Amino acid sequence: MPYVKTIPYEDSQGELKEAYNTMTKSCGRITNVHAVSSLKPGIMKTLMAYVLSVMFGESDVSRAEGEMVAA
Amino acid sequence: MSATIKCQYLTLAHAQALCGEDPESQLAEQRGENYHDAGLPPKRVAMLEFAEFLTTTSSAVTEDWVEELRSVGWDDADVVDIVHVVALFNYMCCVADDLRVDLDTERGWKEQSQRLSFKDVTAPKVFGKIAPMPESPVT
Repeated sequence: MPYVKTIPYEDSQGELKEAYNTMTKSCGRITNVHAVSSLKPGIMKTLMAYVLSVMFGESDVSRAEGEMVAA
Repeated sequence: MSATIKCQYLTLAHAQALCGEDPESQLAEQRGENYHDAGLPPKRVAMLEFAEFLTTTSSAVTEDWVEELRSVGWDDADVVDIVHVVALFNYMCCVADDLRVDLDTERGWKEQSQRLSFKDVTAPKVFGKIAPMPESPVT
């Protein structure tokens, strides 16, 4: 269990539910590493946008190379 | 770099994602733990050496590192991209480890985690004192 409370999708509302829906749409799932910040949906949304920009934006560094660096 | 800083969650997440991108990847098979022994071409090894050094010793980076990347075929925009990938996942590792995020077990990570060389590394807090690092991340 994480050290802090997390809000599951079933109990989410407003900005958090919107963030969860965006994540599901772009990643196919709600990952624990994002859900752990559910008390701060604004951070979740910003982080999600950052991840999409860095990992899925236009780049000559391929997706596989990005994953090599991240792993 | 997630393996470099011993973050189980991000190491497993990105080894799995790498496997999805390249099912033959030796680096994915050994969960990112030894890129020098993963049959990678010099261009990718240089990228990973840079990523490792940024992760462990960011303040000591000199232009020589960027020159080496250029010499193997990366351009300046690529270097910016690589630095942002490193920075992003250092951040994500911090979130995952500092809040003790559970592994996504439905993705088969529980079994994979048992094969990580750093699976048992922890540093319990002693109240009123800064707990020593179990092992220096700088090698």
